[in-house]
Amino acid sequence: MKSATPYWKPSELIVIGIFTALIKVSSLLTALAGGGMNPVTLVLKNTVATSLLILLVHKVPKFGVLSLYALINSLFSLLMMSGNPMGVLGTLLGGVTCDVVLRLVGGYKNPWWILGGVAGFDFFSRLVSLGYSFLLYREQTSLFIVGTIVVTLGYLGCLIGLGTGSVFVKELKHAGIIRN
Amino acid sequence: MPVLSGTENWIQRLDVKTRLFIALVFSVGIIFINTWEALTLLAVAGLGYSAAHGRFKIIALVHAGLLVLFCLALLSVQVLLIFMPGLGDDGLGPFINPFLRTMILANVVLALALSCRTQELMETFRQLKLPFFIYLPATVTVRFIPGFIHDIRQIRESVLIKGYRLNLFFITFHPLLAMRLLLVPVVIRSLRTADELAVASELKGIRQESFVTSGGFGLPGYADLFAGVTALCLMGAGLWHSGVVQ
Repeated sequence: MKSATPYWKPSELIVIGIFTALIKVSSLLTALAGGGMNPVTLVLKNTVATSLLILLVHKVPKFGVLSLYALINSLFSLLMMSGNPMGVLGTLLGGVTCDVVLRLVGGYKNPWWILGGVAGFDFFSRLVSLGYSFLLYREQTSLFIVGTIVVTLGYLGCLIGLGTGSVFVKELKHAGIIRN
Repeated sequence: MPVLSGTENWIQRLDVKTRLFIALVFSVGIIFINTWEALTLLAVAGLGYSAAHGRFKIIALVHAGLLVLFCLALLSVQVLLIFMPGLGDDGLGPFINPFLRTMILANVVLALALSCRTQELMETFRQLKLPFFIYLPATVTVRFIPGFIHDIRQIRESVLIKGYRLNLFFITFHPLLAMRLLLVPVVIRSLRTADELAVASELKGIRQESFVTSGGFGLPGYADLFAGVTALCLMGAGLWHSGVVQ
């Protein structure tokens, strides 16, 4: 009896795992190098993460890549680097929603749709986290406003990351490292 | 490695699913609780839960950070009260509730994180009996983080040899150059690592059908049941005190 071909190839799963580790480590090191609440490194951290995420989607242009990345990232954050379960839910929801939207518009082959999908993923996951923060700090909205400013600054970094990520992809395609 | 040496504390003896369940119950439940008395009870319970690890230094550091935030916010509130005295009519709750919620969340997540160190994380993933498409990337992530840190250290040294000083000033005022110098070599190295690993996995014949998860995934023990029921009872009491559950 011939078994069905699995949807995910081990090589794709390995790329997702390696990029999750890379995004975690580079974000953490950038934040540490910035010495705490440094707005430049806050933006830079998100720029790096988004650039790498764009690279990941170009390397594995398949339905579910964002969801799987979100799942591994969340699981790891929850068990190791202290994410909270509701933040995990936000990231997962963001991943699944953007994957479904990308699938519906047939966007895994179109660089512009990939950019849109990653931007949407970053936005949606931050939106859910901010919603949860609002519920936690509803008695003191001033605290929530400060948090919103920090998150907005981070998202600005993500938007810059869309551009740098595209440049990265172009260069790596030119070098033959990304073949898709 | 406490899990292997047999010197683990009672939290580490709990099933990882129980620890995840407790974190989930607390993080969802605190949204609905709005009385400071109930939140204080849960904060004390959470503190006891994380303190059971005996890692008092890290717990003290986290709580010191929370305390600094709390004092800063109270100071801001005092300034606000000068201009808007009506804000103080609702009592203590509106001022300390956000911090009690943060403290509860910090404690349950800290207890989870402290009981899952790098080496034990692999065991945790095996215990969770994750499907192949989650287990493989999760394993790769955990296994390669130390390798990436080593790579980044080497790249940092090569950048220093080129004459760049990688300090706070350089990163703040030359972010693009810093990114180019550090990130590009790391990305190329990691892509090469990914390709090498993919070839190795093909050669070893790793695929979903050949994947075997570990055994020992039985029913929860008495300790797990006790911990789960206690968490539910505490949350139920908090919700009842807040009037959410009658």
